[in-house]
Amino acid sequence: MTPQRESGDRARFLGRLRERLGRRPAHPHGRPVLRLEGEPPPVAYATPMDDLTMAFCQAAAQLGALVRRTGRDGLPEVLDEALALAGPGPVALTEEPEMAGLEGLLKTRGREVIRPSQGPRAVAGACLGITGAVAGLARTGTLVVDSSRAGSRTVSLLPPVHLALLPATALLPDHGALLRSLDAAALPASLVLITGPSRSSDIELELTLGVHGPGRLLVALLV
Amino acid sequence: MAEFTLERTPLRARTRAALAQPLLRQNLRRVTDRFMQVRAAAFAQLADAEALRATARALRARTLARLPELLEQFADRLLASGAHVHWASDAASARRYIGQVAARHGARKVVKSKSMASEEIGLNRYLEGLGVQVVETDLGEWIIQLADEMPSHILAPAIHKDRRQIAALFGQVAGSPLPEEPARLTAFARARLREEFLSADMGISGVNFGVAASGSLVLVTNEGNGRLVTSLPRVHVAVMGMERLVADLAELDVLLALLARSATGQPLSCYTSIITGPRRPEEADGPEELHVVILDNGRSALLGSEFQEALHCIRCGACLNVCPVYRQIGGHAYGWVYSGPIGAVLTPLLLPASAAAQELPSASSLCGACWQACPVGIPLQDLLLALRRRRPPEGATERLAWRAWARLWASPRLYRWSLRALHALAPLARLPGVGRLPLVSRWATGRALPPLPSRGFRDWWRENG
Amino acid sequence: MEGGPRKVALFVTCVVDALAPDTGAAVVRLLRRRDIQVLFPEGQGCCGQPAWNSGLVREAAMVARPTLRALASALDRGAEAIVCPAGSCATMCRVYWPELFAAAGRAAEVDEARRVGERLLEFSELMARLPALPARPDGRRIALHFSCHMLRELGIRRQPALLAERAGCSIVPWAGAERCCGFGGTFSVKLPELSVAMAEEKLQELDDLAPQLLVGCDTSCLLHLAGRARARGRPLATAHLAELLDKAEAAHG
Repeated sequence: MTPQRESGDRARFLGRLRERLGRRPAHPHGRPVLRLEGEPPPVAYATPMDDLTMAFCQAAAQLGALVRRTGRDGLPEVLDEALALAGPGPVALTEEPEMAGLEGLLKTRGREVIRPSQGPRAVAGACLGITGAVAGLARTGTLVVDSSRAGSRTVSLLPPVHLALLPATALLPDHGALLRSLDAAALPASLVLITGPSRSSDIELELTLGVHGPGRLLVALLV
Repeated sequence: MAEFTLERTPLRARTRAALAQPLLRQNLRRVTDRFMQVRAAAFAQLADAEALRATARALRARTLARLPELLEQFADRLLASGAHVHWASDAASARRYIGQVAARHGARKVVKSKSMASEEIGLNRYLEGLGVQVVETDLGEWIIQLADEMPSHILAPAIHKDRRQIAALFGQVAGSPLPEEPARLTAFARARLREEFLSADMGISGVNFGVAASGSLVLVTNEGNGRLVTSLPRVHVAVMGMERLVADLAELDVLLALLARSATGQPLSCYTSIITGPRRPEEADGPEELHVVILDNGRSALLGSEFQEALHCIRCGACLNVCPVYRQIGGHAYGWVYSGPIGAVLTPLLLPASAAAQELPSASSLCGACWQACPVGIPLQDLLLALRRRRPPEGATERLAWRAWARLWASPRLYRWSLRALHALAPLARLPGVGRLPLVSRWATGRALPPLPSRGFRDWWRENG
Repeated sequence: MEGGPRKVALFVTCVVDALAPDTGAAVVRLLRRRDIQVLFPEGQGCCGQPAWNSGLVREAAMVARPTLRALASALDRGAEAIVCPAGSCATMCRVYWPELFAAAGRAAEVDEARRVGERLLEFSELMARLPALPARPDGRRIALHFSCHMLRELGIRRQPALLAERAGCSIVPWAGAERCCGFGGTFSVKLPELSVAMAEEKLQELDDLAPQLLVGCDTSCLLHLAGRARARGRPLATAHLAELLDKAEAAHG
């Protein structure tokens, strides 16, 4: 019991709900509700996916993300592509284990490395943010980023270009597969499903990318 | 300060005012046509969209039936994750709590991501009254904040504005003229608001779904401001309508599959954030404190009533996009936070004391397009009818007229007589005064009167039966 | 109804009875041409929808009651189906009458309403099940308007197009065909400017498509659209589907 973090009157609030729910609706509208027992079945999609890797690449490409299939030894090349895309400036890295080795690569390319512990303004000054990804969703070309593991929420969010290192073995079919695999008791503080670069159509319905989040997304799909 | 127009002008006057704006109507057509197109394409990706909608409806019904129990579980999990929970029975309680949190932290600047619930409780004005600067960061919401206007659409709040108007607004902020291209205007907003995110003391967001089983908040966004608002400031306050709960992550699967598809035609929005508690020790950023305000504010009155299904709404905006009425008049004409068909249902229910709100259910031809578009199958047209029953016509003359009509037509003999009388009067229908008769004059507002035959069907039947 | 009904009762509806008798006559001829006996229970009147849509349950039940009785008595006299040439009235009877009489009537009336509703078919719904007869092709390019209630509540989408094709018309592709015309019953006089704006948009779309005729299954929609068309200076010929089909069949014979 942590009374100092709870306020308002829980008992009264819920008591009112219980009292209302105890009543019967006056005129039930004749639209029968489906009877559902237990968990709902997983959402089914019209097109089957034979190959998760191919499906992921296609879906991500449609969003304007760049996907590069590579082994770990091909990583420097992908890194160079990301750096070219991002232009000059420092690079932010998370604290994830797969970042090991990247710091060295960046230093040899003359890039300052920013760590989340340096604070959001420093990360905001980076031209590129590199993170790992704990999963990818093939159907939607989605990256899943875990803040606890990354030690940060901002590396995949503040710099204008985001490079994610995603192992192909971490590919799942869709968001349902991800959600149903999660342990509700063991979620990180922030789990984000990233599906393409940030976007808005608020101005005259014209699509613009890179509103508040990154405008460019690169995925190194590690096979 | 922008105000809701609900109490200021009658419904018919508001519809006329909206109809008199050709630019608004043009934009509305473009927006709603586009949304309908992309929605259709996105739904085609599902193996059985109808079955999924039926499942979603069943899930919402089941969750609402268990709402007290699930809210308890939700709150307990939130507390276990280190978050604060406030039970706000009404708007005042929610505002006060949030004001106190701001005061406790000496917050001078708040950044907000989209939250209709926060608009519902008048939070911005309240905080500004306490001397706190509130910055809306959703691109469309920032535009209307600068223009001091209300949102005209749930998803595209500034859709009534064109690039010229937006460039003018941003130009005032910049202190110099800006090019009218959306990409350049967006880049300006990005840079300008970036500074606000980094210097804000508190972030306020809405909640798309609360997950009872884990005590998580789910935010479904596209721009990235939702993530920034909930990651950068040291305090995050989330305002959640109490009905926005899912029992578990499997239920979230179904609703997430439907939400972005129904709203913007995307299989998933750019960012689906699942937030569980404030930052952890191993994180270098993230809010130190997370406060979740669970809001009733009149929602409980719908439980156990014939209107309970209105609480199934997941705020996707699809009903707005398909509504032939919304298409003509836009969101402002509804006068309050929630517009379109769901607005016409919720507003009178959440504002029972407002006579003006009770007019809203008339702003519908009951075509049922909303029901068909709703991802959780809410029969909005039935709810509108039920609201009309709750508040039938009040004018004495109108009631008398209906009663007289009913008495007349309750008798088959008098019914037949009235039709014969009508046909006998047919030759007089051409007289000029006819167009000024009550009801007839309203029909004649922009329409020719139907020709009145001198014989009815029964006359034909008598000869040909 | 294997092989189709042999005896059908006509629920002509107040709008057709009063303002469009030729539509009712066309329905009768179409059925008789197929050797179907048509009953016209005299006690019928209005289905009560105007009052129901205004939230006036008692008045709606008062008006609907004699119609319910008349249609039920036709079933007692051997009618196998009831045909209704107005989509919104058919919806009222099939979808809303049980709720209406549950609210303002007796249990027996609810049962009777269900019994009548089960046998009640909207005009195009019934006609599409009946055999096609030779017709002289109408040949015109028509725009087909889908009335909301029958489209969304009764799910009738395929049948009107089928019948229009039987009549030998070509249907112009019309993106806004399924959008509400704005009549909406009392809505048309409660918020007249809005009602007219909704009609205006549909007619503007037709300006470009230039059909020779606007066809529908609900007289109210047609009168509303035709009224607007005349007022805006571009009159548009309209016809109920029953009249279109009847004329084509009669012209052949």
